[in-house]
Amino acid sequence: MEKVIEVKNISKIYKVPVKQNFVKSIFIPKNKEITAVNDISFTVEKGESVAFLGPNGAGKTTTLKMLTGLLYPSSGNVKVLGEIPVDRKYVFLKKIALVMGNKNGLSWDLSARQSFELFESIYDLKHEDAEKKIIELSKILDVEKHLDTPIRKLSLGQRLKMELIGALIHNPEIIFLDEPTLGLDVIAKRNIREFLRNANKEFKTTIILTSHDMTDIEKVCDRVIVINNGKIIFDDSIGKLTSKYRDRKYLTLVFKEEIPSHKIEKYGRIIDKKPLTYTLEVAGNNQAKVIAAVSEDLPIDDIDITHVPLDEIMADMFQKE
Amino acid sequence: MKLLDIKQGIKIRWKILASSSMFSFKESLAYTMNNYGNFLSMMVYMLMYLVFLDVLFGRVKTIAGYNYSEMLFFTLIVQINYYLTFVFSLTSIDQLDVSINTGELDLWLSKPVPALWYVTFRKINLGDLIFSAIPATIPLIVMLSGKWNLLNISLGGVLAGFVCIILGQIIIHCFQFIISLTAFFTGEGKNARNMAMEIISFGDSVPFEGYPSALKVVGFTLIPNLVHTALSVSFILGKSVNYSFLLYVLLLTLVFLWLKTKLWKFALSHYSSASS
Repeated sequence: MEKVIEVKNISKIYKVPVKQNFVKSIFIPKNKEITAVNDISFTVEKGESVAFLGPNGAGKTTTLKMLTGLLYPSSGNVKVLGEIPVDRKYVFLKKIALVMGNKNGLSWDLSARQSFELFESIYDLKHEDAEKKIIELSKILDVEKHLDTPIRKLSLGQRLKMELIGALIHNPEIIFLDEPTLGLDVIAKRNIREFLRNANKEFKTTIILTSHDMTDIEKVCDRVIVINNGKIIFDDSIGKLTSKYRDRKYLTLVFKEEIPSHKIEKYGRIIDKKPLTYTLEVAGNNQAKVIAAVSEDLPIDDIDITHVPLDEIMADMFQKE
Repeated sequence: MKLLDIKQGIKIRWKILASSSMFSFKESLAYTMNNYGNFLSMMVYMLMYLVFLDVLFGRVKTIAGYNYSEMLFFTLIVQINYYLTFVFSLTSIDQLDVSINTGELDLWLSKPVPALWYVTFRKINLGDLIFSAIPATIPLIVMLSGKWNLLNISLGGVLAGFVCIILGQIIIHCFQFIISLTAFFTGEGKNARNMAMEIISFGDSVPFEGYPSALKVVGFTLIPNLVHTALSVSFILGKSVNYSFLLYVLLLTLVFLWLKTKLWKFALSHYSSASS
């Protein structure tokens, strides 16, 4: 398979001002070095869909920005589509797209269609092709009625969908997405995930995604790179990541009446508690026994069995780190 | 192959220039009342300044060797230069500063455009040129009508003055752009930008002949604020006819363009991008 991203031992060190008293901070400002990304290496093949996961400040977005050529690495080498991103070559930039959930690339005062016309020029697209793509994407994302509305009049979700259309108008080979579903409603999130998955499967578009929404990761990505404190602590498929936790199950027990906690604790570790509902973590090979015992001892109304959710797995990994 | 690259480069730059101008024009139409407000404020400023000039020349015959008609002409060139800066340079520089501050520059740097060209011409304010610059200059032109024959204008002087206006505009653009690059390191460059604008405007205060020698040296080297208006008017009105000075101005332009490119690359390599 063709490697589209090759990262070798990259680090990124930022200088941030040290907190001092007012006079010193003006006349003798001091900086300290913060290592955002610490000597990481990985490769991505064409058509892969990869998620960067990690807690806030782990180095995910910094890595993404180095891959798109926005930031110069402090050390190490990056190649994306055979080019060094910070060289910002026309051929390279024409093949990538960057979507940032919290940043506006479209003009606030104009309609999305008017901004797309500018992108049409920038990407040197034929008007008919661009128009066809805009119609296609706006139908999928259900915003065709809003193409001529000024961006400032759109809701957050509609705006983000327009940003996504603007980023994908030129059929990029790699899409970099930083929190693409931030602040969206469930339907909008679902549409965007389906759309990205489809682009990945049908057109072999490589997807690099960072998100704190684990459903984004589960629905869109096949591979996960977990970053914590600037270092990669896991790099493999989602299946491998969850398999480590497959020996554990979550039982959600709904009771007909309120039950005190001490009566539940003996069946497993309480993960969540609501007035009539408890979520317990139990060993996978013990779930049948627990279900039988609970059903016999307590006034149970409903039982739901699930795998350990991805966000719990992540929380567990970060705590261990 | 190289020629093809150059052709492609020119084509891309022209497309950006044309579409950015059109795009910015559409943006300026989004707030119609704002355009009228801008026009009215400029009109008031211009009329007040003309009254001031009238009062001043009621007491003195000349300022720095310029009589009333020549000062009106000087004011016209000041006005033209102000709008050229505002339309072709300042708004784009403002946008650059804001985009560094908010991190929106990220999205523009990831587009396949020559970044320096794009940020330089990102917002050409043709709307302001039409709605504000041209109407606000009309009173000045009316005041000047009937006085043209009192001005010592020659074809050579006009050509030299025109070259000086263009090169001077490029120089002051580069100067302001370089100052605004501090935003890459400090995160915000509004005050630095304002300072640069004040320095540039200082060169529009009095005619070229009114500045002491020391300020003239500074105004043609480190702080190049005497080319676009002061020297241009001096050439047009035949006050300074040393055309060889044009060669120096050309050299100064090339130096500032080189500095702009180098410092832009340096700033980009230190870009830390606002956090998401």
